[in-house]
Amino acid sequence: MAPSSATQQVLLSPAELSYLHTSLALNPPIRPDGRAPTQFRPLIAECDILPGTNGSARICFADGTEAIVGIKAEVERSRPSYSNTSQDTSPTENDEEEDEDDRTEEKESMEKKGRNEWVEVSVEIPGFRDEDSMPVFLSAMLSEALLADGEFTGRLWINGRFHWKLYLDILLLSQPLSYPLPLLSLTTHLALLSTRLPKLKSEGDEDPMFDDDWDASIYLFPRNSKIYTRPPVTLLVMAVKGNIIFDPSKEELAVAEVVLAVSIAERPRIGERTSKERDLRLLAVRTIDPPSRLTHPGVPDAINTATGGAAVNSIEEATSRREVTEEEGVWQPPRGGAKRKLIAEMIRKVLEKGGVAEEVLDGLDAVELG
Amino acid sequence: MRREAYRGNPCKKISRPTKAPLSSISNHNTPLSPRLNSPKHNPYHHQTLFAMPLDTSTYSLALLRLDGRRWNELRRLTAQISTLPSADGSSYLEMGNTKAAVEVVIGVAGFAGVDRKKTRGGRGDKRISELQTTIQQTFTPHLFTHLYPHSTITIALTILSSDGSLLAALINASTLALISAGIPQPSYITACTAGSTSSYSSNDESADPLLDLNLGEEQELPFLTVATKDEDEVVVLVMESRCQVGRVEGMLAVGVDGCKQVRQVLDGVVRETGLKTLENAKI
Repeated sequence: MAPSSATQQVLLSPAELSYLHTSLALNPPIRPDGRAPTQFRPLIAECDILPGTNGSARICFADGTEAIVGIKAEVERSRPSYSNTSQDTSPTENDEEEDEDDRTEEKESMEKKGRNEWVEVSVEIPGFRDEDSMPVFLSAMLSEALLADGEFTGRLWINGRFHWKLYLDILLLSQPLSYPLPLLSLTTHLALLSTRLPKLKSEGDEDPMFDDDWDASIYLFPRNSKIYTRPPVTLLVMAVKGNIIFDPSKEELAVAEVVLAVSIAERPRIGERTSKERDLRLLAVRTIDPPSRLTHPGVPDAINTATGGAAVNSIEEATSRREVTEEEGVWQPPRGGAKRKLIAEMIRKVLEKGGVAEEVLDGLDAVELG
Repeated sequence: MRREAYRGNPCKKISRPTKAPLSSISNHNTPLSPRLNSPKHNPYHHQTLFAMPLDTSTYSLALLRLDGRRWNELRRLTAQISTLPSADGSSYLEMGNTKAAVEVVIGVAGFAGVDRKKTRGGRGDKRISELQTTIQQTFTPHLFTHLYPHSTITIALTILSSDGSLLAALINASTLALISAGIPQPSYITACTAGSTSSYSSNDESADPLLDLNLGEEQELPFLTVATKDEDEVVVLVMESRCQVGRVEGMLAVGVDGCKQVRQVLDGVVRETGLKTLENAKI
């Protein structure tokens, strides 16, 4: 499970935690800042800010966290693949032109497969070394979502001998006040949307030559192409007693019972988008260790000498006594996992039509496409 | 190009300060393709787009540099302060295409230079340490540190894009961030680079000093970085390239004057932010 204990601890007393938990467990839930369960906080987003990169973006969340992503591409020699590419393409008797075109296209599309090592994601968080678990987990989760559909690396193919190597450098500029995964994922999405690669002028398998005119460069995710695709997005979803809450602030995370990181993308579609709805596809679901497990439990009256209880001798006894008592209003760190139905409901809520995911993708599109 | 958007409720927009009133000609360098300078396995042809930054023939004809500036014009300088609400003080500075953000810990982003390099093996730790030490030694005697006994003031700098005048941009960004954090100091320390059009050995009497060099010019020509405290007091002077000694005085004079121009821009930014804060505080 991905560690979230590495982010700064929220210092709330057991009474405050219990208060938060109770108000989030109501129907409808009452959030500390009065938002609806599916309402996101406002943010500032800009892209194309770094002229020395192929693509860049910056997003500031309302709680002060800020991230910048820069994407650079480098031409690299491809390793020869020893896979069997011999196909029986013996020409048939009736050699229609259509058939030949289809066959060559098929062969090209099969050869254009990329490899996952052509994409390198690195995450830098202030205060963490590169080998610490938090940056490693975050970069693994982000690259997993990007490479999940298996066709992204195909865009980096130049010819049989060369390909583009894409470096995604993700910088968290502020301290990690809350779990930074959604911020980094949204910024990466924007940066990928704004990434351009120089236009290829050479043909076939010769050494690649590119057009020096930067205005002729092609977007990695073209706007008006025959096939419409977009990069993935990872969102944080939490649940408290059956209430599903999006864009949790760090206080809300401190009382969460379940926290999921859900990666979604749009299915590639042929032709322009006709309706306002998007065809969403689930790429990955990961559980995040909720920081609520690390909070201090409240002390029930039975073992509190101030309220007439008897003090306990050891921590183990205190823990075992606490496990038995289930008092309303006394904060206990959540124990156990989540019900399967709840997890399924959370995922369904992310993907539903006209729901949260579509709103996020619409917002990001509006930034890049103006 | 920069595009901003807000989702859901309207949120605060980043406000842009007034652009430097001194540079009237657009100062952005022609956007070279990011991979054009890669030395290793460069499959591109070197087209004439990548010309020498100071082709002597074209410079002496029109006295215009590659990006259209004259000898005494600064690149576009934009700055903002209090960009990070989570830090005590923060600033964001752009001198042309060199960008640095502050919250003397220097990190170079992997995408800062022309080639993508990870910090470890990248710019070389020695260069980074030297930058750190220079900035540390600049500010330590300058700030009123006696007001903060038993404390450390940490300046964390991130280089987002380096296109010349790196030390100057870092010093300017640090000054702004310290002001934004409210650390008292007697005056602004501002920095600027200056160079000379003549190469080392030529006896060119008509060589002009140049103000505010970009990366291409820095790689070709001798230049120095100078930072001043008040109108005339130099606190930092770094020169790592060889130059005829007669030229140095001219470069220094031009650099000090450039620092004065930068000081006016930064002062304008600080005053504007202060006015806005006062306005927002009105009930």
